[in-house]
Amino acid sequence: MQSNILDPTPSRMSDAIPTRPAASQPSADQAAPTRRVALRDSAKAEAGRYRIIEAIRSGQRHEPAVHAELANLTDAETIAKIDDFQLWYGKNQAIHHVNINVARGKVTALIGPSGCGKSTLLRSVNRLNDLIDGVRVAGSITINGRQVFGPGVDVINLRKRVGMVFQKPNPFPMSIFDNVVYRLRIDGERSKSTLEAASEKALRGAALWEEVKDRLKDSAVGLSGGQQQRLCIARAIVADPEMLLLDEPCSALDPIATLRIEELIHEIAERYTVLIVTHNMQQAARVSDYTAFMYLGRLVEFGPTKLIFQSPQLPETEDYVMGRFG
Amino acid sequence: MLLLVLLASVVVVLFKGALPAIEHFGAKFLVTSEWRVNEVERPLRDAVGKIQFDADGEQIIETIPQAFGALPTMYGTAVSSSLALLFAVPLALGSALFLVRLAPKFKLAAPIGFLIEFLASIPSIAYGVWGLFVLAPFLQSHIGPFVRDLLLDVPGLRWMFFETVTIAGQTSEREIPMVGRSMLCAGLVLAIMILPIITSVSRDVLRAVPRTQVEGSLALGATWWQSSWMMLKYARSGLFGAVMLGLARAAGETMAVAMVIGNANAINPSPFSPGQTMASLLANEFNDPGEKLHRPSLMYVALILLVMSLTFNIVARWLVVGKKQ
Ligand SMILES: Nc1ncnc2c1ncn2[C@@H]1O[C@H](COP(=O)(O)OP(=O)(O)OP(=O)(O)O)[C@@H](O)[C@H]1O
Ligand SMILES: [Mg+2]
Repeated sequence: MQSNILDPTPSRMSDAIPTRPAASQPSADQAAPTRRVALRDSAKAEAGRYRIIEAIRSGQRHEPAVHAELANLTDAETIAKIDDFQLWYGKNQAIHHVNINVARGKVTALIGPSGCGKSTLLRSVNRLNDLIDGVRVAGSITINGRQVFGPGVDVINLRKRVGMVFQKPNPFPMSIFDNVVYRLRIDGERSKSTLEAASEKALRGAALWEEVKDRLKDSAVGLSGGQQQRLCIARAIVADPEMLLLDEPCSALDPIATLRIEELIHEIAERYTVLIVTHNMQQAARVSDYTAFMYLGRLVEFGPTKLIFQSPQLPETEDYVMGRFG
Repeated sequence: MLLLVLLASVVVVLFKGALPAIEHFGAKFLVTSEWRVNEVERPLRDAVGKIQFDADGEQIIETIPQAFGALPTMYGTAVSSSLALLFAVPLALGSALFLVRLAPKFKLAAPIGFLIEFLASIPSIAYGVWGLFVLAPFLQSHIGPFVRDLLLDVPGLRWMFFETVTIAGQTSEREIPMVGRSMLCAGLVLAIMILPIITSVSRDVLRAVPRTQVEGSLALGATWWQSSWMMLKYARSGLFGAVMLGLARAAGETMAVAMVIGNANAINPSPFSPGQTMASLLANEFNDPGEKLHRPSLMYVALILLVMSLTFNIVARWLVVGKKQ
């Protein structure tokens, strides 16, 4: 199926696929609508339209479309640098040569079809993939200039610097209070007043304090799903991490709980840089400042969320965010 | 259904058999320590031990009736089972953690799992023989003296090695002999016997702990041990059930215990002294019961044992199975 669409000339295929430079990008308001109409007419007919996607499918190296704003981030503006990162599960490569700069104090969203490696990439940042047998990596990830992989890296310490919230709320089987201060307790903090102050701060930060302040001693499992997820956020921020990783944090929640979490993400992003995986295009558009579109373990396009959703550089990105593909 | 009928009939048989003893001793059976199988006839003595004579100068013979009480065997069951749990539970939980978290990495989960199933299927008499011929002598000659030398000076532990006895009005303290066959020996043999079942049930329970729980704690920077502790905590009711299953097996074990516990129907506080459990008592005495109330009393003991292990089992099943759903 693939071979008839592909350019058969190997030398050309191995070349990077050129993309339009970001500078010549038409502004979203003017040019995009007309172009979109034109493209939609020919969308299904013109198979060769997804040049990068086709290149990826055939296993060719491609050059992702990275918008200038992100390509030109200074080191001070970058909190995490994912640099030519690759990851294998045994023999299967799940991440291929991904470069992503996570901007400090912003929300960066990872989008892409199921199985494209979003979670894998996210879990590489705090090395949670270490638990899985046969995982191998290449390239590098740095957080605030410190290597994530490599000899001599203290993984426990790394994970303490990076908070993570999972798809399904996973409160521990203990009280609300004990959940929030878990991170401090494993550091050996015993002072009651310190723990209490920290838990109040974290719960306020996660917009949960008012709801639970009178029942901190109750089991966390008795909270609603949305409350549990905010508790997990409180638990993740209690020790002021350098960065927060969120893996589809709302996919198990109802719309109202989702809304609250989305508002919360806005608030906490200023203090804790957020890298979020989401399946939901509207959510990515609502909460994030930057969006990276991934496909089959590769980065396809990475740019400011507004541009990605209104006038992306690539037709495949446009079709994906419009829900026409993927 | 059939099982229920079976169970009911067991209860009925035991109850009917025990009825004379139940009527005779009532609940006092549970709190008395005597176990006199035969009536004893002996010359009557007064308070200072002088033999009494009647007017004709004949010795007065008194008849001491049979007496039965389950307290020493209940005590023995409780202590030997507790000792067994004390030794087996930490080891079993450690092995279960190893099997769930580490063994898969080294492709060891299946072979070790097989080994455990195999150990669980060894007949208990084999453990008994091993306990009798290997462990008991070793306890007597090495472990016992070693532990005594180690703990003798620890305040508050003297009762383990010395007992006070009153002979003819004289109270004195004497050293408890290391006999090998003892409560401790039974506890160790039982620990080895119940290790496989506790391990394999705990392993299944720990396997059912959601990944997200473990990852949640690891993502917060928990060490291997800290996240393992989290797993144990999450699975605590199931693990408790696993322990209860082991306890039920320990409390109900007959032959292996009868071979190594020393079969002394008395309450001796020291773990180095011999004792008796309900099950070992039955194993020892049931094939040749004495007259009158002996047999009903044994039935009574069996009934207590049955009710007890039934309770353990029900609680255990409820904890293990009930929580999974
Ligand atoms: N533990 C694992 N062992 C082997 N392969 C894995 C493992 N986890 C993920 N993969 C593979 O890696 C690829 C990327 O998976 P990943 O979970 O990162 O995708 P995702 O983008 O998060 O998908 P989703 O949107 O469904 O969550 C998939 O092909 C998947 O099959
Ligand atoms: Mg995922």
